[in-house]
Amino acid sequence: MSNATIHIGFKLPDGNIQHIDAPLGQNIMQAAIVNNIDGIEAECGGSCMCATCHLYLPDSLLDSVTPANDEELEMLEETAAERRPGSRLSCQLLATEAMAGVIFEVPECQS
Amino acid sequence: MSHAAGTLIIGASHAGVQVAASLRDNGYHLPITLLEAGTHLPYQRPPLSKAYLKEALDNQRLALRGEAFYQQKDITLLLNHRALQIDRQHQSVSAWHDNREVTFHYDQLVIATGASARTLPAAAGMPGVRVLRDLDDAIALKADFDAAQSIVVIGSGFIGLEVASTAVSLGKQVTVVEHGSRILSRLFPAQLSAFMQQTHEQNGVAFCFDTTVERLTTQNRTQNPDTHSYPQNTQNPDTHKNNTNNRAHQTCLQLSNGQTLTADLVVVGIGATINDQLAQDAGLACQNGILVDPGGCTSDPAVYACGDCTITTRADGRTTHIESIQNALEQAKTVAANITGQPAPEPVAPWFWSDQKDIKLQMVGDAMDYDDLIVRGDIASGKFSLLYYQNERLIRVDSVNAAADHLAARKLVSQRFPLPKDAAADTAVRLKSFT
Repeated sequence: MSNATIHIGFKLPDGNIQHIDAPLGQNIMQAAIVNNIDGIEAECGGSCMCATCHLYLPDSLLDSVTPANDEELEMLEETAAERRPGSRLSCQLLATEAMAGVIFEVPECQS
Repeated sequence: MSHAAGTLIIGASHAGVQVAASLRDNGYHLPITLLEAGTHLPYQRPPLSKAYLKEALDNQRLALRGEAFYQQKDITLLLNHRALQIDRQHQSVSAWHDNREVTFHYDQLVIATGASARTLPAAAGMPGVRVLRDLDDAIALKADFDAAQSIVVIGSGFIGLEVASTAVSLGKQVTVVEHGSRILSRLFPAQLSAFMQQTHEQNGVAFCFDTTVERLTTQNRTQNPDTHSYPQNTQNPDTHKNNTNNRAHQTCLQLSNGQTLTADLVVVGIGATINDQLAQDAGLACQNGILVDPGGCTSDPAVYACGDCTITTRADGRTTHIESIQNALEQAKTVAANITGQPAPEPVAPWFWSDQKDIKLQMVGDAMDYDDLIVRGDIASGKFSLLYYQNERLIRVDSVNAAADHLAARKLVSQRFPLPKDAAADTAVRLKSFT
């Protein structure tokens, strides 16, 4: 993993935005966890097993991230909060330069 | 030295950290102290048998919470503090830190000491024989694992199979020795064991069933070039000069069936022993684990326990012991709710998962007393679920590469839902439509 980081934000259900620096290559779930972002439960620790690290990506980012694989797509059908076009499991998203400055939206609930 | 009372938690793993976090979420404003014998910032355990073995994740990628979390939530996390004794009369715990004894007082005590990997007495102190349970185990194992070309795994439980999967995916030679006649025979029906075995064999794992290890000996590999059971190891002798000390040795395993195996590394995965000695010494009721009620309370109303160290006595008198992260987190939330006088979370059916290369196994419900078993999907396709019934009600579902089934089944099994069996067997009918 490189030492370079990107600045990203998480918009919480109450409207507040928390900003963090995530190392490039780290998964977004883990970046959120170590920075104490509320609302990312990540019960399974990033194994793509529990669908409790659900986030909404902004439309602008959808074309520049690796698409969800079948496993993730299947989990996304079962998220506790509404599934939207930008829905992803953050444990399956690695921080890339394309994400610099992006604000992810945290859903109302995870389980 | 004495500290203000509040809640004292022994053990800062998944359960202990969750108690502290949930107490603060519930508005608890008294001091919270987490005593941890280990020296690492509390970390995730699931990656230790997979990603950690592959790429030695650093603290940032293993941390359960960021370091700042403990400060922000006013949780005193004391690493390198090994609890020595609980004095229930004076509501205090003594701990060993930096060669001295420190005493902590408590209003409520939570014991979350977990379990330790069971070791093989015959292998005590042998180089190249490892277990895997915590990060220190993983650090020691990782060094040997990287250097090993041949690995014998003793025990075909989840840890053993996960390590075996990780190893074959890195091109290592792996043999699993299992005393039973099939994989996880106490937990799985025959068809699931058979599927798992076949998949692992296709990935290159070899199995020796119905046999045990009778004797282990360490041998200097350069002195016994003819005894290698794996031809890949008999390489150009020059390459051995670059090997680490660990690879200077091999372990020779004599099996009860007469077979002899030789390996650079032996991983012992034969279950865990529950860390309940502190509780036993303090006179708390234990029965190969700390006895707690469904609220996490021990035989002393000021002392709670949660996670892998507990045996829960259910309302119907049954006792259960569940070693899983989900159970640890649920019990932790329940204990925190009881301490703060809030309603405990609704009990849910226990769920568990295991990641083994091409097999993503997810289980919900732990019942073994089923009277009917429905196969949903084609086992040969590698994507299916087994649905277990008792009196027409769904009591357990094991899913292989079928995450949607699993997530829906968590709700259905928790309700013991009377799922129609024709729908259960029909993959065109989504289980979610019944939730």
